[in-house]
Amino acid sequence: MGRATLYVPGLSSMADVATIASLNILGEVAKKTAQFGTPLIVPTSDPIVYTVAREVVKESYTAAGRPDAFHQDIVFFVTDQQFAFAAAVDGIMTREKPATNFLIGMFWAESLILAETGAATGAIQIAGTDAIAQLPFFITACDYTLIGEELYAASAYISREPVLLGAIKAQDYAKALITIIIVAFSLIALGLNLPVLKWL
Amino acid sequence: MEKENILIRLQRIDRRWIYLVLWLVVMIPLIFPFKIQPQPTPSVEKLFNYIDTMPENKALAISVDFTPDTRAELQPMVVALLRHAFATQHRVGILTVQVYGLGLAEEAIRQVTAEFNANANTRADSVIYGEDYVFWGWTTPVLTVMLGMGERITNVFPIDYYGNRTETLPIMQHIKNYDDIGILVTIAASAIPRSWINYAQTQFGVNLSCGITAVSAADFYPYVNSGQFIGMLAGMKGAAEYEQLVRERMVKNGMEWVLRNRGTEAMSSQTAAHLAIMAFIVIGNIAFFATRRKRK
Amino acid sequence: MQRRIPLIIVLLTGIFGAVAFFVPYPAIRNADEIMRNDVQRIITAFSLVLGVGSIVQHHLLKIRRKAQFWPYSYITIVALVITAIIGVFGGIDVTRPGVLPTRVGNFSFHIQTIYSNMMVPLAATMFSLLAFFMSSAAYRAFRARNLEATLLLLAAFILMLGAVPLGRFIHHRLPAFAEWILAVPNTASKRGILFGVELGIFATSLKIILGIERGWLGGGGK
Repeated sequence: MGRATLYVPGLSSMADVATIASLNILGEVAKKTAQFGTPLIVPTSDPIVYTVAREVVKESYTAAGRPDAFHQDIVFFVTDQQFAFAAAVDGIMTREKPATNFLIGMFWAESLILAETGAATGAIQIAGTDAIAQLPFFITACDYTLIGEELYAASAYISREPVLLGAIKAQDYAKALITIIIVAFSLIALGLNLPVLKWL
Repeated sequence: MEKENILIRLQRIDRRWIYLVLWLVVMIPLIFPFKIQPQPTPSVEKLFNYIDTMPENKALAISVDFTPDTRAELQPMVVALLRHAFATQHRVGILTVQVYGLGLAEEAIRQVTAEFNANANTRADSVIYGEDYVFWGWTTPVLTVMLGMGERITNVFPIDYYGNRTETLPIMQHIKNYDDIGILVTIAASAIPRSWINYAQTQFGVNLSCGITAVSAADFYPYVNSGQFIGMLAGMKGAAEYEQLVRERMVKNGMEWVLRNRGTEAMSSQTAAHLAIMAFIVIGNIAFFATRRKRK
Repeated sequence: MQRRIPLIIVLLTGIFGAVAFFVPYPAIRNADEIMRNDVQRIITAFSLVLGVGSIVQHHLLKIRRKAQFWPYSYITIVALVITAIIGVFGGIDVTRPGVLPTRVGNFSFHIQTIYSNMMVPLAATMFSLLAFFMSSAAYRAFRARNLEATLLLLAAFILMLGAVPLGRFIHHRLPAFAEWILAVPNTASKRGILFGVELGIFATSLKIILGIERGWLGGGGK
């Protein structure tokens, strides 16, 4: 239990729903680290995300019955510059050698830089993003990856709230409906040889 | 036994050896380049042709939405776009929604205007600030810029990058809002191009295109296919292809100047790196199959 | 009450944001412009203070506690202070000097110098690491272990061949085929994931606006 847990809530702002979903997961992770007395490190790249993340972690430590274990140093702002942030997090990974790295939220080109450094330090890595172009990098370098909508589903699932879980079911119905519409219209387009097919 | 040892060692090779090989493969062609003629792909040609045939009263807007880290890959796109717009006598408006893009935009503007003005014989040939181009600068937040420009650009950028009141610039009589912009090209290494679609295009119908890093290119193909982006410049290769088209266009216009094309220059290095990675994959698979067969 | 007020603010601003997007009525447009132009800008400006406060506090604490690698914290704080002073008082570049002298002979150290000669190369170095990491990841991950991995390997190989002149020599239509892989099968699968993502965003946004999802307020949604 001596080694830390690193949690990176992505590089986007609170305007990004992926960041909000990530902070929901952070709340549960923080509860676990509070229960087991594991050091938690949460670097952030947006001042507002920093403020919210600090509140989330603080509340989780209180909910876990360990408000004394929370200190100001757990959550901190680094920089809003993409690669300067990646450099700082890579530095934390190589110096502190966390046992687990969570890379959950919105990531861009820095995703592989973070994930490969984490893999090189031997940490167990759990990633999750809805940035589709970054998914191959996370899948290659991380042990577990939440793909696209799984990030939102995990955020709801982890809370175990029936209302939140119900929304996952609603999303599945919506997806089924969209699939039916796509198949139906594709068949119509094929049957009538519509010009929409020309670009293929 | 010896052979097996080599194969096992190849399977578990220290990643630093890979880094060393790649470093050499990138560095050597940079020092001793070999010539590569870029072949424009359809998405690059589409953007080029659109700007080339755009009515003269429509302006080109370039949003320099990247940060210094991706300068090597994306700056050649900004330079090539500026050259194209000036060569085809289109007005240009430059902005950034990334504060770090200010320096990069200024650098590109300074370079291209110096190139054109050094070769100009008359006032009509030269590019003049406030008449032919304007650098609106940066403001925040992103949403304000993207939505506000649809109503009145001078409201979003009351003062330009150089401290002038934008209302006093003659060019602003011709570029009032998105209606006067033929196409807005966002050059970025993030999801900003998607925000341009979500806010600027959905609400105001402005024509958009984008230049992005190769690593993010796959993300934007759905928007190119749907026509939301008119073509796309993907990575250094996209920049080199656009440079090639602009070079041909400038020669056609009688502008046979000797200019540096940094995208094209880097292509030899990039080609060598691609080949090296392919070789790594082949070697890795040979070692994998050979050791697996032995184990069986 | 501590929770109710933020939830009411989120509900009202969330609904207003959605309405303003679709209703072109002048009063709504004006109110929306005030929200975007003034309110958001003020919030963004103040958030910067929070960020700077956090980074200073974090490193001062490290120095005070003599935590591991604490001398590096001095570098961060000194760099922050010097850059801020030069940025605020030192002018933009040689042509636009500030109140603080930032020139010694031919050497100038205004904010544009710091930007071009320190920030640009440092950031570019970090980005260029991607090429190294990508090649090592490709070496380890692209193994033809099963049918799916073999298909992935083949697709990657064709794409890379299409990106280099060698591809054209092998077959003149190889680059076009590589482009087709990106534009058609890749896009199709991406759209599939995108549907799920966008539905997830829509559902989560609704839950936040309606106050069903409260995890972001702290306390895990209770």
